[in-house]
Amino acid sequence: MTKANHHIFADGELSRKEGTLRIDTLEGETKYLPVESIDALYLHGQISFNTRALGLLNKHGVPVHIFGWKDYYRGSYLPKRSQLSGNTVVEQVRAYDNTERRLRIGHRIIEASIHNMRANLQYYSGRRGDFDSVVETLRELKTAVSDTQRIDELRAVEGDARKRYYDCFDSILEAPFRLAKREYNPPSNETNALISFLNGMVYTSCVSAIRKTALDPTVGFVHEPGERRFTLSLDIADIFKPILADRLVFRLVNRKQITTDDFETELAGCLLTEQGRLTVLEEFERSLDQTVQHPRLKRKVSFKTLIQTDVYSLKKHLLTGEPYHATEKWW
Amino acid sequence: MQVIVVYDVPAKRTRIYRKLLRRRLEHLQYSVFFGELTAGQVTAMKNEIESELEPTDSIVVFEFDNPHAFDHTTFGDADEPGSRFT
Repeated sequence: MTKANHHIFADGELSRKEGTLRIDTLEGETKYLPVESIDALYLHGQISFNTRALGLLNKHGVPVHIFGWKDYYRGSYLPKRSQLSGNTVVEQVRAYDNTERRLRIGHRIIEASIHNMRANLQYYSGRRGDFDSVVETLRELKTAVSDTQRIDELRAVEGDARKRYYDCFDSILEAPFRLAKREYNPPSNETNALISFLNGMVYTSCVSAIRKTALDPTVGFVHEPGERRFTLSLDIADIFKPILADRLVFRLVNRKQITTDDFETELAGCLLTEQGRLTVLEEFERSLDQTVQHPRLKRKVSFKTLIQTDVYSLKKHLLTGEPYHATEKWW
Repeated sequence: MQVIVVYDVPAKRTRIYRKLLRRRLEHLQYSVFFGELTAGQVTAMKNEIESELEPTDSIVVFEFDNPHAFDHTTFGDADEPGSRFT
């Protein structure tokens, strides 16, 4: 069992009290959080905190992910690294710098990503429409991945797969939800808003998982390392988005847990309301807790642990050359 | 595993246990704590309780290994135990 995340929606003050976390909300409520039983803290409201609170979080290795206006991801406060290994970072950068090695890792990541997209379509094929031809195309694209010789070529294959995948969304989703076209900054309609929000949550889950290893989150393999971005998190998130985000979008919409009332349209964009975000997060947390039997570990693991094992596998691959098992849906 | 801890100790000594329990568990009611802990956390907690113990103190720790064999109902102003949202 992994520890649970905690989300704070209230506005108020976060402080340290008697060796644990204390929240005083503006409504005058006081609550204590068990700092030793929290995996990661998500701040969604207006919250002030001081260095003593950060020091406590640091001591217990709890990362804080901060969301600003309308729950746009603003950044993370990450505890001091518990895992330090120059060796790992050197190997990671070497692998990145070696075209051959980088490409091989990139292949695994994109193959897994396409595989997971295909698994989603396969599930809904026959239920919500006929996607057999797209499933077949994705199967071909997955095989085409290992033939690519350059990273931009690889990204082109991935983009192609993703486009075909998103094209099926309109048939899977119950009316009035429509994707039409994947757009963000700002999301143009309800479905886009929902996908963007959940992708952000998957991304932060990957940031937390990578932080538990000595890997450098800024050096990714498929995404080009740049400034101010955790490109390795983006790589890992690509594998898990179909499993954790997209599948949840379909479920929330088709079971009518989310309706158009949970969104507000402002200026050019469309975003989730606070109540909507709460509903989505409750379900997201539930899916992180869901377990599946792991063939190599021979025990049940939660989806949250699955992200962790994926990252461990990558690290093992970088250090020892053991094959990297990017998570491909097997259940 | 799911854990419930209740204590009945002299008023002056409550803060000792409150402090060590709050770090790991949700403070549900005055002397009732609930949460999900790992086996290691439970052992550490029990050891810590034991080191603070005096003859006047009474503490009971309940543990449930199977989350499916565990249910709860709340009445009145109670907070939902195990909620991940504030």
